[in-house]
Amino acid sequence: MTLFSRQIVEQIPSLRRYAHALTGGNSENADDLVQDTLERAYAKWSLFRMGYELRPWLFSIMHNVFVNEVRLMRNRVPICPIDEAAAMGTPAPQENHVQAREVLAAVGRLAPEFREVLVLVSVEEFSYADTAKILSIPLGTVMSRLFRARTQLRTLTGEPVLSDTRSGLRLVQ
Amino acid sequence: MTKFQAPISDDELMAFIDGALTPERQRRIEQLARHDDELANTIAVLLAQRNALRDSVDAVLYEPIPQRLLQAEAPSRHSLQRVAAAMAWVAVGITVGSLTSWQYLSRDESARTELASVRHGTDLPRFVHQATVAHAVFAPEVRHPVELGTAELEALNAWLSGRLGRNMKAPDLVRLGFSLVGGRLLPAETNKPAAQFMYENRQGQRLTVYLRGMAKPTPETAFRYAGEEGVSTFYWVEKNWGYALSGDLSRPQLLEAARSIYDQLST
Repeated sequence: MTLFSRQIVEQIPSLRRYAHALTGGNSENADDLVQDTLERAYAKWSLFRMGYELRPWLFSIMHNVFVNEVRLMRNRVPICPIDEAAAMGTPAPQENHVQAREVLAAVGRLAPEFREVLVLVSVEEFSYADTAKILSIPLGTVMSRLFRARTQLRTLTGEPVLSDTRSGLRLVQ
Repeated sequence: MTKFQAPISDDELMAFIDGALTPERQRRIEQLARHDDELANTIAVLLAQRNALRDSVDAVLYEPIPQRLLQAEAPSRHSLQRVAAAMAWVAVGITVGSLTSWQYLSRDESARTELASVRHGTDLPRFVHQATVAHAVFAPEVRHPVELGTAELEALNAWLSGRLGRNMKAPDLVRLGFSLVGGRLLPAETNKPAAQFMYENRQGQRLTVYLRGMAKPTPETAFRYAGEEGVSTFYWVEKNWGYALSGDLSRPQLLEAARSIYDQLST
C-alpha cells in the first residue's frame, strides 16, 4: 500500500462522519458519498501534490461529489424548504439542551450549502479560510451561510429566536 | 433574512462560537454577555447546538470502516500504479508470482490486504519490528548468537516446536551457502513466543529467520520487503503465522532465501 492510500484510509472515519452529517444521518447514503469520494481521490491522485494538505483536498472532493449528487438525486436526500420544515412542528424543547438526534435531523433539513458550511466548521473544525477553499466560495459567503445555518437550525429545533430589542443585539428583518 | 446588529456582528458571534477570535475580543464578548441576557442566551443555545451536532455524529468515527470503502479503487488504477512507481512514494510489497504452491496475490490484492490490516489493526507492523530488532540484537553477537547450536539440532527443533505449538525444523539454506548456527526462543506476544534461527556464510554474513503465530487474525500476504534501521527484511504471513527473514544481503539474494524458507516452513 502506498503512503498515499494509507493516508487516505486514515481520513475515512472523518470523511464518514462528515458524510453522515451531510445526509442527515442516513448511513447508506453517507457511505455512498464516501465511496464516490474515495474513488475520485484515487483517480485524481496524480493531481495531488506533496506538500498540499490531504485532508482539505479530500473534503473538497467530497464537496464536488455531494453537489453533483444533490443535483442529480434531490429526492435521495430529503430536503424541504425551511418554512415547510418549521411548519412540520418539531416539539420545542424549553431547555438549551438540544437532543443530538434531533439536531442531526434538523441539519438534514437545511439547504445543502448551509449544511456543508455548518458541518465543516462545527464538526470537522476547519478554519473559515479552509472552509472557503474546500467549497470554493469567498470567506464572506462562508460567514453568512454559517450564520444563517445556525439561525435556521435554531428555528428547526424549536429554540426561540431572538426577538428582544432591549439589548444592542436585536433582530432586524 | 434576519441580522444581528451591533455591538457585535454576526461574523463575530460565529467566530466566538467557533473559538476563532483573538483572546481579547473573546473576553470582550464574554463581558458583554454577562450584562446581556439575550446575548448570553444566544451564545448558550449556539454552543449547545454545536455540541449536540458533534455528539450526533462523533460515534461514526469509532465505527468499523465498511469493507467497500476500504476496497474503493480508482477506475484507472493501473495507470495510477505507474505514476506511483515513478513518484517513489510506493511502499507496495514485492509480489512473487512464480512460486509453486504460492497463493498468488496481485499487487492490488496485496494493497487491499494491507488496507484490511489497517482496518483490523493486525500486529503485522509490530511483528516486522520485533523480527528486525531481534536480528539487530543477535546477528552481531559473537559469543552467544544462539541458545542452542547445531550440536543439539534435534533438541532445538523439538524445543521450539513445543514452545511455538507447531512442528517445524530449522530450514536448510546450505544450497545458498548459509549454514545453520542454531536458534533461540524469544518473547513476543502473550502466549505467542517467537523462534529465531540464525545462519552464517563463509564470509561471516548472517541471516536470521524469525517466526511466530500472529496475535490477531491476519490476512495472508505476498512477500513484502521492509528496510528498518539498516536491516533488510522479507516477511510474509501464511495461515496466521508470520515469517521474517532479515540480513544484510542484496534483495535478490534475500528473496531467494525467503523462497526456500517458505517452501520448507509452509504448514
